[in-house]
Amino acid sequence: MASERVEFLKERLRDTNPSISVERARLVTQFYRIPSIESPIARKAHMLEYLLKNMTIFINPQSIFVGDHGERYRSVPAYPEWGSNWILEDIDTFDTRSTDTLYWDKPEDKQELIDICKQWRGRGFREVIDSHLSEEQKQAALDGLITIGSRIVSTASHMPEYGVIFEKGFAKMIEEIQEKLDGIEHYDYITQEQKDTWEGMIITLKAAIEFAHRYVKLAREMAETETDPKRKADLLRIAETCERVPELPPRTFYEAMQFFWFIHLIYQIENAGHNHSIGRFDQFMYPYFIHDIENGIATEDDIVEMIQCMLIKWTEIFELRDHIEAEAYAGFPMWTNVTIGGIDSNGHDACNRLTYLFLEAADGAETTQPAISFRFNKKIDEAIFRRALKLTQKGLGQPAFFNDEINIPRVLANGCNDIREARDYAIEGCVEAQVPGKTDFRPVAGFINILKVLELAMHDGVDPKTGRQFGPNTGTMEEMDSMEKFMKAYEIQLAYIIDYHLKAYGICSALHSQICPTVFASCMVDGCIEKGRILQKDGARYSSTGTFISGVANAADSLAAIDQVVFQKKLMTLAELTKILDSNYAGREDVHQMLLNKVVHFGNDEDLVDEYCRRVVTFCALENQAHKDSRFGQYELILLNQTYNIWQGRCVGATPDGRMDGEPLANNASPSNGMDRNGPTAVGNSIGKMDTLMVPKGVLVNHKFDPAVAKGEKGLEMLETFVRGYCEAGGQHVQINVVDTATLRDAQKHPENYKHLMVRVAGYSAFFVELDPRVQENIIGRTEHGSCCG
Amino acid sequence: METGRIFNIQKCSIRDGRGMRTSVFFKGCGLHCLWCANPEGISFEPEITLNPQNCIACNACMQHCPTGASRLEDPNTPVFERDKCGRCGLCADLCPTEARKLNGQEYTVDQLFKRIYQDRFYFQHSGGGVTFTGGEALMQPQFLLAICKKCREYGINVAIETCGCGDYDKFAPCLDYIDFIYFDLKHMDSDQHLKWTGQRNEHILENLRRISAHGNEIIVRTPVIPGINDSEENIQATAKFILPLVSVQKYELLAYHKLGVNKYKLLGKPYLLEDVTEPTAEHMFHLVDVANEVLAPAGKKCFYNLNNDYDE
Repeated sequence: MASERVEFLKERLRDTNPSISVERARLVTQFYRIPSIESPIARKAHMLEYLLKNMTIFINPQSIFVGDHGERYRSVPAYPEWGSNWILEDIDTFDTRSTDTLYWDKPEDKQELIDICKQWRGRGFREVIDSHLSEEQKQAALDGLITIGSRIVSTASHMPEYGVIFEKGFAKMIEEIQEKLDGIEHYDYITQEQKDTWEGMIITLKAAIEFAHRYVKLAREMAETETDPKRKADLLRIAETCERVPELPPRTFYEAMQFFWFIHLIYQIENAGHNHSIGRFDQFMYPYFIHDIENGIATEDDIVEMIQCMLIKWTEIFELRDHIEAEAYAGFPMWTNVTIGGIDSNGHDACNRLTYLFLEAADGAETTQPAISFRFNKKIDEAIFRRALKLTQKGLGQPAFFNDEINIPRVLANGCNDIREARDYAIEGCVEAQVPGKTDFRPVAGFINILKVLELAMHDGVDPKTGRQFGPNTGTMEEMDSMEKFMKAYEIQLAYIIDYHLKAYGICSALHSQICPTVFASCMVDGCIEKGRILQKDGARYSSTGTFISGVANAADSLAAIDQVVFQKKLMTLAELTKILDSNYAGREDVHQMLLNKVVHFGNDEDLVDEYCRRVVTFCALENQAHKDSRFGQYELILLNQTYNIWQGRCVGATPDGRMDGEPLANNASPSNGMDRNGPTAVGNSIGKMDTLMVPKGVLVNHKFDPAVAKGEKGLEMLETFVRGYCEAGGQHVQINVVDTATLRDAQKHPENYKHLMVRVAGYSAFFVELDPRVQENIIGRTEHGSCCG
Repeated sequence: METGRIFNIQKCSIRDGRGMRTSVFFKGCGLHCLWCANPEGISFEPEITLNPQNCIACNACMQHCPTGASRLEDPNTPVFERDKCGRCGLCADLCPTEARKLNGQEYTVDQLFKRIYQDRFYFQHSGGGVTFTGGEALMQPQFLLAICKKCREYGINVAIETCGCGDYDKFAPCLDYIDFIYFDLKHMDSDQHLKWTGQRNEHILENLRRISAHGNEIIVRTPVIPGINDSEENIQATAKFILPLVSVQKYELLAYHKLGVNKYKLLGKPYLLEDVTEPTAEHMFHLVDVANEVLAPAGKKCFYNLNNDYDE
């Protein structure tokens, strides 16, 4: 179900090759050539002002919303100030790499970008950070043990409370900030920094209003020469709207949507970065929806079309990434997340007509962005829940389901002490529950490869791949005469690596606060204006940082295998097992097969291994929480690895879970590939036993269902039962792909026939045919859950 | 302690009764239908299956088999001499690739119940539960009674799938604890029934009458095997038989399939219906119409579920 306009916009998106836009790099470089000794905050604010004033603007055919990221449709800007060395290294691969290929519009663009990046060489944020990190820290990342996050992007991850901002409009916000400035009674180094912040905020908000006014002019000019009366009306409506928002509060659904888009877009223009999430769309847009319907301003069809146009706009934004990330995060995800459903702040079911229409719109638009998060709870409107499941049945990999009963207490346990706020949580990034507009959450301290840490524990702290002593000495395998002793050795290694990792990230994070303030974004989060402090300096009400752990199921499986094979059945000593693993099972296929088939694996509702999983996860959660980030917020654990499982798996030798040297790690918090042999309910039960309430920021689980099982009325009932039971068992999040292996295999052979085939990769959807072949294999390898016919 | 012999426990079954169910396969059956999709469930004894494709010739089975039944020959081909096998299961225990597998394990009531109870969250909403199938659950009546009672204690819905070939007086006590019954009628002609299933059908029909009189809700099912029981006469006769049965409101036709054929190879048994092809949907719906001509006037209904929709 999509209008002619929407079909046109969809086709245009799909048929336009993404290209690289040099303009932003040029403008930023010009700006920084202008000498100034103003404060870093003022400097950044003026930079944004300069960009908004000078960047090329245009209005796309048939588009009803304005504002693009690059100088051309579907073009991506480069951010040399965030790091230019990597661009120079990768520049020849952008248009040749197999995933997320980017094209040059004109050959001279490439040379210009090279020239610009050469000027920035060694002076971007990435290079500054790298000069502060030790060689060993950087090596740890290269060895696949950890990654150190947010080095070429800002802290990002903004999720405002749009409803509050709409009510004010920027003009009113500027007034409030001016009052703050006027209220300064004593000038000192503290109030001076506040003054810089408030002044910077006003600069960016005014620049945003002026940016909108540029579109007023352009739309009017275009309207004058437009011959199609319908399009002319569109353009005049654009002009009228941009004259009003973001300066003044929106009056209609349409104005609110354009207002929203300006904020979302300017986040992207201000800084490199992603993860900007939308919050509870069906809640903050609902008053405008009702207003339009009641006053005959828009029909439900109009509303659906507007949402679809916006879904397409969300998908138009992406970012320039290096070849590693282009592979690991294939499919141009921006982790823009939109939340619908759930309960309201009073504890009642919050579903409404707009929730339903949003699902209808998503069904017709079929975009990969944003990730749709559906909040589930026992009070949920049954018909709307089933509508969401019908979207799942269609195989779009959308929406993901989130369990209110886990997420609300988790938000409460993470610094929020107001139950009404906690009930109002929305999902940011992949699976992280936050209070919109009050939280500055950074999701990416980095990924800790906890299977690699297990490998260290099996080699007395030495990385067998490099021969380097990395962890502490925790004993040789000959000394491990009990499971508990080995477990202790592993925990000592884990604690050491977590501490090591957070120190490395801490260096990076503290530098953000000094040299990369996000001034515009700070206006949108409760607390920053009040305190006169940017997000990076603890301006928000709630600040925290997420740490990912990768290889969870592999670590649990490995521990259970050691327990069973070495200590319970005594089939071999731990030293003998380690030797076999170091040889990658050379001549010992029997041992390899035994580890795969004859010991219990996570995801099968087996207490022995599930308990190892719980123990490791709880340990990592507590170790993280014992550390404070650069804003004195807490570090909080998240169980996901995106597609880093492939890259980090390449760095680990054979492990006791039956994994061979270099094979991928388990996908996110899911069981190891192919190891869940008792169906999806057993996976849910294993996840539930993990004690998901101990994992502050989420447990990402993917399930793939065969369409033969998920189709029809009975299939719908099965999916519903699965989601309900999964939540009852204690799951925090689940996303379901309804796709069969044969379809995916055929898509590999005939990509041209499967341009529309979407899959959930991890917290986001992508077109399957755009993924790297290795990522495709990985998706096919996830156990396909069928059901038996008796 | 009472134990039952079980050859498989399958979670998330959606075609064996209402909602999401756990299917428990009892080992041993009174019939041996030639089309049986679970041939490993026919014998009451534990059986080894051998899948040579999985064998990596590690030799663990040969080294430890007490009777020499499991071994490798020339030099890496796995061999299994069933006549020699003492059914100790050691080869399956030791086989790292599951090329050799033991079918049929003893469960106590508590052991089995623990597995059933695991999926309670998934039963609750969908009205699901456990389905005892097989093989033939009614042929282990004492164990069936014990596990049914345990399920009742915990409020778990119990269904059975049966071919009806047990001893009524022995399994009758179970009926009070069974919420729902799928009852298979393979053929109405007793000679034909004997030919294809190894047993005459008189006691089966009698069991169906008595269970119906007891009051359990029943769906009668016929697996439609082309050339064997798919004549209009047979379907008509089946419909006529169930017409007066008060507890039977629905009659389901199941299409013959070959999903179980490979299992015969693994068991070293011949599959005698190679030439039979799966019935067309058109034929299935035709037979549904035939049955409904008989059943509809009485308000009863025959159906065939092609698209994974609800049972009608």
